[in-house]
Amino acid sequence: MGLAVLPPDFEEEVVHPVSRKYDDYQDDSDTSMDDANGRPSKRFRLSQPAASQIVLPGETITDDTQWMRGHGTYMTDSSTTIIATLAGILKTTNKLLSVAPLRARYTPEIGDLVVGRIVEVQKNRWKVDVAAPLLAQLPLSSINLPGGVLRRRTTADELQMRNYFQEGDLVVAEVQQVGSSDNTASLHTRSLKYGKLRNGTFLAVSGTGGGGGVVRSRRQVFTINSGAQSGGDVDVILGVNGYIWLSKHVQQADDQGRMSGGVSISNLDDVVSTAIYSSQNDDIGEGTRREIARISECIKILAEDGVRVDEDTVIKAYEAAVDAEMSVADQAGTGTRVSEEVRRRIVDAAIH
Amino acid sequence: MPLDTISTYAQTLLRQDGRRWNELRRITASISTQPSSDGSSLLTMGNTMVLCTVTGPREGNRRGQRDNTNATVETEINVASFAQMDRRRRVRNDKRIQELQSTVSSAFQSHLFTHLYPRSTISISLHVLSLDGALLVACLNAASLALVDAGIPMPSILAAISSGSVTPTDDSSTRPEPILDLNNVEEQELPFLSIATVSGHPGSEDKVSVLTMESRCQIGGANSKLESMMATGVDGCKQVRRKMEDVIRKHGAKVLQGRK
Amino acid sequence: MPSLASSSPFSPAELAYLHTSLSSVPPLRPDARSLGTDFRPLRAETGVLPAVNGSAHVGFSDGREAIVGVKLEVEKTVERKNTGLKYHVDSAMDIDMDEDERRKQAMGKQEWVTLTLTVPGLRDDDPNLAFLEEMLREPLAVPLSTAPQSDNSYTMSLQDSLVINSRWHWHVYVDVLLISPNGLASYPLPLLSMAAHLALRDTRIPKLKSEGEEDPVADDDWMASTYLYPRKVVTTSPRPPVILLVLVVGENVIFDPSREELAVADGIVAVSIASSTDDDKDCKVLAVRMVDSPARDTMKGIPQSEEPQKGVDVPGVWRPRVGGVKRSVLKAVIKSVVVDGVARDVMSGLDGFLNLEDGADAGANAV
Repeated sequence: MGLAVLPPDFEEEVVHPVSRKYDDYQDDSDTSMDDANGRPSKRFRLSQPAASQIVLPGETITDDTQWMRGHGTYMTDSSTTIIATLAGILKTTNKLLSVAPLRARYTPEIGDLVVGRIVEVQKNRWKVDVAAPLLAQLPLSSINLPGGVLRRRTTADELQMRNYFQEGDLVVAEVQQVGSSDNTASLHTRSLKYGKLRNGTFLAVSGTGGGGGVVRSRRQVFTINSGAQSGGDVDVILGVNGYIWLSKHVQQADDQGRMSGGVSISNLDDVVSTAIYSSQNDDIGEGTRREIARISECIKILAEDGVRVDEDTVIKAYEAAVDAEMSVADQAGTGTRVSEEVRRRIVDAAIH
Repeated sequence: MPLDTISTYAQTLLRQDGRRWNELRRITASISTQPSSDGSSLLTMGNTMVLCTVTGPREGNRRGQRDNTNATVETEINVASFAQMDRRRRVRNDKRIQELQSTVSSAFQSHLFTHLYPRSTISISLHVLSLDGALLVACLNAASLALVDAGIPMPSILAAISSGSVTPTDDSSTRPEPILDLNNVEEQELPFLSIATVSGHPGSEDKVSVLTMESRCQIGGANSKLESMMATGVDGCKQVRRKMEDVIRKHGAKVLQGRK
Repeated sequence: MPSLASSSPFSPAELAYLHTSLSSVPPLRPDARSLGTDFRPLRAETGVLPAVNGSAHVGFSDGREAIVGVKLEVEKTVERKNTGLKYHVDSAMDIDMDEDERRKQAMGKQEWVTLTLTVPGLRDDDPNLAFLEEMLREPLAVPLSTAPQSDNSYTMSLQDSLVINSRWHWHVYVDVLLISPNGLASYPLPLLSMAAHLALRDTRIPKLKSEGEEDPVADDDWMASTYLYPRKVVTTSPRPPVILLVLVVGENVIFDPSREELAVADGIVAVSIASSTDDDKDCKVLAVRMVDSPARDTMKGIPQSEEPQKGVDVPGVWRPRVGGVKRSVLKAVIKSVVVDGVARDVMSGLDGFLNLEDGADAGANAV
């Protein structure tokens, strides 16, 4: 297909959301000078939850004292008014008022499963980029070392840190703790399902915390069956921070787990070998690679259109993509990218 | 046709481009223009066009300068060579640009809730694509929108405008009159200041956050210009803020619609 | 989302995976594009800046944007001793002059075209920046045709059309602004060249009220200005060149590479193409340059087994690319560009966009 050069999408007229509860100052003429009296009263009483109401920084949400303030709001010392600090959607959970921003950086929480990239190797820890305001750290003591879980970290280990992780490597890890003063995350990879990533490809979606992008859900790691497409199964790891890893499904770990009755502290050292730190890929067939690329594109489409990315939506989107491409497979050889229509079908399938 | 404001203003009460004293130029803005950055905006005020991208908060690059309690705001302003009528090659160490950068940085350093992101850096990158007056003002407004887009918490939206003063005739006894939002020609002729305000606590007045003036004018006495310029400026900021809030709301509605 | 990861390298495991995918026949691209010649769509707009002679704003879907402004300024021609720039009003009368002499008249100079590139965060004298500027500027000055035109004008290169008279000429300033989260690491060459191409095609030269050897005085009527490059697009009308970035992995030739694909390239070739104004050819290649592949500066991967013998390629383990490009593959690149129609596709994509804009303008004016 040749080069497509397109004009930018023009803004369509958007209807204002109907759920606004206060006076709408519709006059946008530039000649009004005296607005001391004309300023709309921006207060309203929240008697019932106002779903999908957009608030802006500086906007008064309420001054009813029954509400507690949560993320995205602030209260001044002199009054009990709660004011928004972010542009986003008002959320009410019981008596807690918070604002979910339209876009925001990922903020780490304990227990999050994240995918990160090593950016620095320090004396006894690594610094990992997890798309948070500050780099996360992965201490040497928090990873599995070949030779046993309970082994002491020696200076030899410190000198050989690059044998385990070097700059640029991708890891999947869990947030162990979050620094109280500066919200720096501290990661660990102490389970067999964490560690260095290989056999696949990486992509990043932005806008976490806003509703688009990856959301925290029960299953961040799952497998997609693509046997029908002559590909193998694909493991999908959705890091809560918006970093995603797609790879060829690895069967052995499950078998091993089942065989020995589960991996426990006592036999962890048998299972952990230097192999887990290698960056050697297995042989991956063409079919699997194609499916990985297809899933990657589906996730990108979901993210671009603001649909949240979780197991459900990804699987639905993928199935829609497979169906859609099957129906245009007759025009083989045209070699098109995902066309507009296919995009829409993917997004629709994912939402419903 | 005379090319200056002063000579014709008394008779017509209109400026060279046909505006009245308190009319703003046409403001258009859009946010999230570059989805791959944390926050972005494109703002035009008349013929002045500024593009802003915000990155952060993220780990800063320089080791020594990290503040352990607050985020650091850095600004870079880049006026394109094709921005003005004469093509002007940018001078790297332009003092005026450095001062503007410093003004924008300090305005937002104190305005944003930087204590929520200690030791990190928020980088504001401003590109002036076309310049017809209101350089500092457009930079502040564009940065304000981009910071809202980036989801960085702030107590209210910072809005800026320029205001100047025109003395209708040479007769020094006539009161000088304030005018709002000066373009390039007017800025070269008349004294003007740039002012930015933030909303005060609910029920109270707006607070002035930035106030800069590069020309000279009379402060006190019967023909004082400063007070009227400032009062007009504060009002003008309110108008600009309304416009910016409108833009953000429209964008928010569009995003929500896309998600439904 | 910009993060430090964008400037730090990929992991060896990722690189090995990508390289194996791209080496297979046909190449399996990470964004599921089916062919090596699939291009990502561009969003573009011309005429976006108010104070310039021509402008364009071009963006890719991955967030890279370029804004180009073209300004024309009148400049005094400095006459050099030996070349003797002469300008004859009716050169058609001088039938006894041969081709070469006639060509020497009204000859422009390469210095009349200035291209500057601004990337926020980089110094103006950064070597990579200077190299990129030169790569963008050089094809603009290359003559596009060797045959005389139908109307006896010998427009052969951009600078020739800038001559006003013997003492004055137009100086073209092309200012390119790149806004990209990764800066130059994203290899923005094709993006910038397409933006410059569209801006130049949007550029209008003011009509001059003066004639002959008078000092130039421009007409205030902007609508009377003429396009620098003729707007009506016929296959033989001159158009500014475009630079394409071509990737070579194994035996595969891949166009419009994304950042991941560039990171595993065996070789990268920058090909400047222009539509030929000669009737018999479609597009010609103006220049071919090799670009350093980022795959050289990568760290090698760690194999599972203990250190194998050096030099042995363990399948699945990444090794930094240190070789060059085979001659046969280079030939395949050129063939793909010229014969297989990639250049033609790119040019017609750009032409189509400008026709679209013209159509929209005409529609708006007609209403």
